[in-house]
Amino acid sequence: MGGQACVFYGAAEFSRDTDLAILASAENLARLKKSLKDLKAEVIAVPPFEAKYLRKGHAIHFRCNHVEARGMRVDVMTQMRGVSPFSRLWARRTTIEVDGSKIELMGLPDLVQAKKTQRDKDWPMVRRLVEVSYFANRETPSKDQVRFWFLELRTPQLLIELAVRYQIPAQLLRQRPLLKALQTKEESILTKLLTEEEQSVRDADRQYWMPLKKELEILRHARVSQRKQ
Amino acid sequence: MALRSNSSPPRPRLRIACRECKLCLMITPEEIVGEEWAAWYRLTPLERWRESEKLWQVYFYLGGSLDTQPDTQSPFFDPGTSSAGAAYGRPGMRILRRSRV
Repeated sequence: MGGQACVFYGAAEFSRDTDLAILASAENLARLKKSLKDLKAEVIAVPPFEAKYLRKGHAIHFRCNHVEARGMRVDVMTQMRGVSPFSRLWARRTTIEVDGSKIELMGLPDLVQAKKTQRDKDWPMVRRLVEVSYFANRETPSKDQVRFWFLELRTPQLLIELAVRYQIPAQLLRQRPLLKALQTKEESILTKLLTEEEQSVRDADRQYWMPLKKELEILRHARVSQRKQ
Repeated sequence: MALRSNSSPPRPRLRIACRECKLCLMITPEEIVGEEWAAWYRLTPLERWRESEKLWQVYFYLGGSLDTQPDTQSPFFDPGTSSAGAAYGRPGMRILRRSRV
């Protein structure tokens, strides 16, 4: 669901870590544990690898020690802010086959949601993910694709082009107020509104993480005092 | 990037007419993201995956590490998890000449 998926969808060229969105069922976690054991992966930070932390929205961080993957980071998550539950993610996934191996990738609209975080580096990625989808499909788009672009495009020129070709559904105007400004066809106004929109999502992400960060702090302190004893 | 430009030559910067009305001229990827990213955008997802694999080979040849850089903006950031390994190259690699800037 992370950088590797972004490479596939066109927003990145390269990514070193592997991010996994998983279903936190007992059976699935047992399977994951076995795979991580094969990779000689160790948990490198708080929280510990327990289902209760995954279900709360934490990520578990591993570093692999297998000779063929030494140092590789694997982050595992099961819940992300603003992202649908796993059952829906699974239903909407993209499956690819690379050299005989099947790889399941998060679907594009879900990946875009997962990338809307407080981090600077995720926003150019969100923009590129949607741009690639738009350029590749704009000549014969489905209804869902047009809807997705109206809701997620972050490129003023492309939003204007889209609005020239398609009427904005009233429901989307409520969902994304900046679409109202498309009537003006003013790039500068849209740029300003897109920046404000990004800022408000980043603030929401910070708010979401506040209690989780507090919990991580407590776990870190407990880990340090445990080591001292 | 050089690997890509060999496989997909740059396209002319002409705007193309959309299929439906033939009147409105559509924005090209080059106008938005420049030549290099536009070439990347034009690859199919599987082509991008393959090109990324080639970049991996170069990265490893130059001694790149799999360990990621600390991400201080991440809510998960924990200074205790950063690796001591050199992320810029393998042990046998050294800089012979450095630019002034």
